[in-house]
Amino acid sequence: MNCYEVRDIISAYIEKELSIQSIKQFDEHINNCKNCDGTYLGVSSLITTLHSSPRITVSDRFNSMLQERINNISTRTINPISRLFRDKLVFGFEPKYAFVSITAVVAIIFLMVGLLPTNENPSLETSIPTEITPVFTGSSFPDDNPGMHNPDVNLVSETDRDSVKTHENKKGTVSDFEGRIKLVKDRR
Amino acid sequence: MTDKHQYNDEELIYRFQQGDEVAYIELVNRYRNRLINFVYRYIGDRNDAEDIVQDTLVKLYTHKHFYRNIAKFSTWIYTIASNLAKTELRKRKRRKVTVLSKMGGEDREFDPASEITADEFAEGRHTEREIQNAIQSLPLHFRTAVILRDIQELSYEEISNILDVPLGTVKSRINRARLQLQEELKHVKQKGRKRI
Repeated sequence: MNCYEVRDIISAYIEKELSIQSIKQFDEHINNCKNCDGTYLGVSSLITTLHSSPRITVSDRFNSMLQERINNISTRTINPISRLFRDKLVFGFEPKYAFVSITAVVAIIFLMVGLLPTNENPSLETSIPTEITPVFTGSSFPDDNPGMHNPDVNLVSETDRDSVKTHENKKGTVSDFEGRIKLVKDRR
Repeated sequence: MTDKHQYNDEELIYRFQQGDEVAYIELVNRYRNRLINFVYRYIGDRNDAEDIVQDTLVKLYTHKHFYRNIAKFSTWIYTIASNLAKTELRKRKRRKVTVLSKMGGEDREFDPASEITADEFAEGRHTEREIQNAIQSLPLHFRTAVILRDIQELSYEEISNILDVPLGTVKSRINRARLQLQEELKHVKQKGRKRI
């Protein structure tokens, strides 16, 4: 047992809460360690001092003052709502805490209902036209101002959903791609 | 009134809850001095301690129905007193900060309670003032635990319920508080010896 361990169990030793084995080790240590022995004696003496320290008493006017305060409380007018919940527990809580909790829960429920997404017309989600998207055809690459000098670029509005969709659907197929090249050549 | 002595605290509070005001008076008589010793040691001022005990007993009167017979009455009343004392200390701390900010350095160093006279030192034991100062120097959670144990002489279980911390924590806090108090008192004695 080292000094730290001894310091940790000084109170338990004084209050006789240690096992016989621990008491033996404690005794062995304080017999050989002057510092810990001093601490042990100091703590023992402190406990005795605190136990026997003088007790104060309340002043003579304590009871009369208390009586006065209680009389004031008894005669104070209480509003009907307070009287209704006076000396009662609401859901096991003091009324004010219960009301605060209930209000908080109701507020949270209202907030949650208000924040829930209203999904009344789900088709709108996909059909809103937003902006004009350049669609590139042929083998050309887009540059900063494609519509100005690149004849291969067509500007197609997304509002024209069918055409865009058709274009997207056809984009992957080889035959359509060839057909489109042909169309461009014809145009030239 | 004499027959009230045969009732324990829990029976008295039950009778008070049923409207027996004599039971309240008996509870006040049983606890007023115990509570004032606890609060005085905790906050270090007798007048404030008396006010806090009054508040505690008024709360007992107005909130009697909030006591439920699942814990000892003493635990409940000490918890109320302890909470009120903590609130008072918080208020004081705020006031102290304001006052200290207006003080000069010289004013701040003056602390008459920490001075020890030669007569006190000659007694060869810790004076009441030294003990009180040493207790005041403890952190609040150590202070409460050691007062309840060594001055109020409550059991570890009761202290654990009042402080709402596990039994092991209570034991550890009390041990550490005692070690710190012992160091503090040793230091005070050494300082006194040097001065003499």
